[in-house]
Amino acid sequence: MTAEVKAAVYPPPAEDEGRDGLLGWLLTIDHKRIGLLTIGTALLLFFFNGAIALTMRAQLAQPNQDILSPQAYLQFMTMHGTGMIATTITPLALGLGVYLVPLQIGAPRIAAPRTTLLGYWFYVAGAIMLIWGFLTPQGAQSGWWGYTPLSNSMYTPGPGQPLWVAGFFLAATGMILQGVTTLWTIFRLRAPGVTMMRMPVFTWAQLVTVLMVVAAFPALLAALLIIVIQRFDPGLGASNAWNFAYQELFWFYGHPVVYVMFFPFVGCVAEALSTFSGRRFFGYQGTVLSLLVFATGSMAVWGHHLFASGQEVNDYFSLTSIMLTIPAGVEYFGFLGTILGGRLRYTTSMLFALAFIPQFLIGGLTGILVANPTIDYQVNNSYFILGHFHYTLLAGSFFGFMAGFYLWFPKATGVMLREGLGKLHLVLLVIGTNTTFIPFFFLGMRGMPRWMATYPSGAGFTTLSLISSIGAGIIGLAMLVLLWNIYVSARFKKLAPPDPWRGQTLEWATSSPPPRFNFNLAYPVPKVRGYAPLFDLRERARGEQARGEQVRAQQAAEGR
Amino acid sequence: MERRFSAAFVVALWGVLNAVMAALLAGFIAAGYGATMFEVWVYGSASGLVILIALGVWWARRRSGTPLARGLRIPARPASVVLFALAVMLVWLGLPFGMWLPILAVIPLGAALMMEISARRPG
Amino acid sequence: MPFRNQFAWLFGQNTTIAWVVFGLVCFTLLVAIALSWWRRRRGRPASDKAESNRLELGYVAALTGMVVFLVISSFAANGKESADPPVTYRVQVTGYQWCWRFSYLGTPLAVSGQCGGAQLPVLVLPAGQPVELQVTSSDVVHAFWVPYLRYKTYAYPGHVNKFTVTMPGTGKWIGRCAQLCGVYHYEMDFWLQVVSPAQFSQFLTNGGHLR
Repeated sequence: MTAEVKAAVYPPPAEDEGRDGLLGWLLTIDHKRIGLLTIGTALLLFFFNGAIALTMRAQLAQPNQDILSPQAYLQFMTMHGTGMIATTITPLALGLGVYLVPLQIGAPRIAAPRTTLLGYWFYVAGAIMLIWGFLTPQGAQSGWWGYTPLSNSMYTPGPGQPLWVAGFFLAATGMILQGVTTLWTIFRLRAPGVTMMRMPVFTWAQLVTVLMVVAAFPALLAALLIIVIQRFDPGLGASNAWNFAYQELFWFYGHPVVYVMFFPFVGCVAEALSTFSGRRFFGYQGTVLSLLVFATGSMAVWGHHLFASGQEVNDYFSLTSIMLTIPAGVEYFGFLGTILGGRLRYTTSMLFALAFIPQFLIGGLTGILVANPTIDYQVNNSYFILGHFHYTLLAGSFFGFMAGFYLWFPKATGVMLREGLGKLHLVLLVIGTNTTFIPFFFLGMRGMPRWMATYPSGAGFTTLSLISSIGAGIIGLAMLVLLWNIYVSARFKKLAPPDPWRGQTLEWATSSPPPRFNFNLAYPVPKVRGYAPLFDLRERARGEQARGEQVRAQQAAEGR
Repeated sequence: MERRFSAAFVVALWGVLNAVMAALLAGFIAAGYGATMFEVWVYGSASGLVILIALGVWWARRRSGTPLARGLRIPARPASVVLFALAVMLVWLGLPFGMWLPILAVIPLGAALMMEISARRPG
Repeated sequence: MPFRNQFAWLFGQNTTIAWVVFGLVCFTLLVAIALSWWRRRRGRPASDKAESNRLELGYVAALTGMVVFLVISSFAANGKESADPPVTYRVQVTGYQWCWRFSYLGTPLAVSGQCGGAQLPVLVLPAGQPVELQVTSSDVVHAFWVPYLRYKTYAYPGHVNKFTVTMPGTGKWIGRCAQLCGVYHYEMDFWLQVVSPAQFSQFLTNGGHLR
């Protein structure tokens, strides 16, 4: 009954079948296309910013090299950091939500589709300006933090730094818009039966993500306006109040953004683990509560980036940072609880999700280490911190993204990816990330600071830097394998059924790729009784089948 | 725990949790652990914004009833969105390159506005 | 000298705990894989239990206990590092693009150098006597870091960060700038050299020369 009502509400109006061709994509108001545009652009920029990293690692493989001049190195490093954060991982996180949330909650569309599209175009405009600034001779050299007064017109003249400010501002605004429309969708467009406590784990992860976007990203916009003011009045750079205000506002955004770049991928890992363990995600209520608490915590720790400033409330921020252990531990309880009771299927998606568990943990545990000011005074702004956050972001978030990528690629494109190439990608990436970033912890302990364009030969940094650079090359190789996989899968298509994985959530109840309004007469929204609706339906069907057999057996016995 | 939570409740809860953390920060600062109240203002206003959003959701819900009430009104003219983004980009380009670029922004902005107006005119 | 000692015990304690946690999680992961293999062999289905609230609450209680312990450790170490003994000397450390200047307050002596490999500036301090370092900047934000010391602090224009060190013995250790401050940030090194109090007095009076 419900299915027919759903289908009746979703007839596709004639004018909006969606134009095809390039214009149809660029002017789309279909959330699936907007999501794919966002993710696709972000992946392209991942390769661009990754190539920048490879160049940096080539420069640092040996001491005193001249592959990049000191000025060029700072431009590369600024582009790598800002590019990865503002134009790669954050859009991957939010684009995934734009694509998936309406499907997971049984909605025909996203709320405010044009605003979502505007978010994409602001992001593209921002990325263009960032790259433009990078390519000018006096590009931004302030690092991704853009601290004043270094970033003002007195210390960094030229168009590069203002292009950086503008690009960062616009890209972040675009992400705020996409966050707001995703939030609105969760509020207003859930299908009947999809209560808050029946939303899938991924959607909950996305909800807390967009809450942080809305609460914290405006602080970045305010901080960037301080740079704008100092571009016109650089004399303000002599005022500690202005400079420290910048730092407070920047980090108020700068910490939550790393959780924005984390939670959606935790959601990916949760979906992959439950699907390929053949059971519901374990400890759903605890996980939902811990996501809310974790997101609160992430808003309350930003001062730990300022422990060494001498102007921060170190004890408060140490307390809040260490407290993050509790919700993080609950997340891990859910992950481990799910797989402990499962019959595991080792698809590429599952292997990435399993690899995430120890890999992210290295980043998380080193994070708790530096939550102590005593330890942070030593390792802050050294390679130790670089190791910490590359573990959380690359070995953590990006691995989680890959679990989601291999899981949902068939749904989004209608084509299966090759499992063998996927596993090769994983193995190379595991080898590459660990080879690159384990040396970072030791380099930090040896006293190597960040932002070094090169280093002297007697300092004890050479061997570790070389190993790290080799690892970076392996990461590059791994990503080429991914590209090859995508090419081969697109060229020699293996078509994807609606549900290639025995999925548990609503997106698997529709075709691959889904129809224009996600569900229709052929693929109606099923009845939702829990957070894993398809799993519930299969369980019920098994139960009915078992009961039916029991009845028949009884009748046969009586009939005899 | 089969209690039903509304979205507004979840957001309000999150806003309140943050407000509590902001108050704790204020307590630490007042007790002499250092720093100025600026950061409390920042955190406090962010928490306040979230609570306002929760109130907005609750109010919108009360006004219109069921979630799917909006139906499928297909918005027209997505192209105006791209023109608007271009206009904003041109305004920002004034910062590195000079004030003549924001003046140029009038063109795509005007085009976008005309598209919007013509889309809303009947017929 | 509190920084080295506090760092040593806290880092040692916390990395031990971290290794134990890492080991436990990896072990659990392997157990899960083993259990799954066993289920397949026996033809058993996956478990249909979706939660274990008592276990989870107990686990959260254990985590909370660990967090309380870690927070108390953090506060204790941080508290010990903020000790303020009465000082005999004060040195103003000024970072600038792209080198350092050390002004010995109460004397006309100011020492600098040429960073970029040539003649790194040397911060000379006496052994066994508390010295207050006042760190500031004359242009952009820098940071004063001596890895041997296990401590760094930021150098802001228009603001002074003060801390006290008592160096136990003589020696010479490298110092680095630890906040991105422009093109030659990577060269902005200096030396911290600790000499006997007698040598230090001589150093102050003979125009900043060490014999």
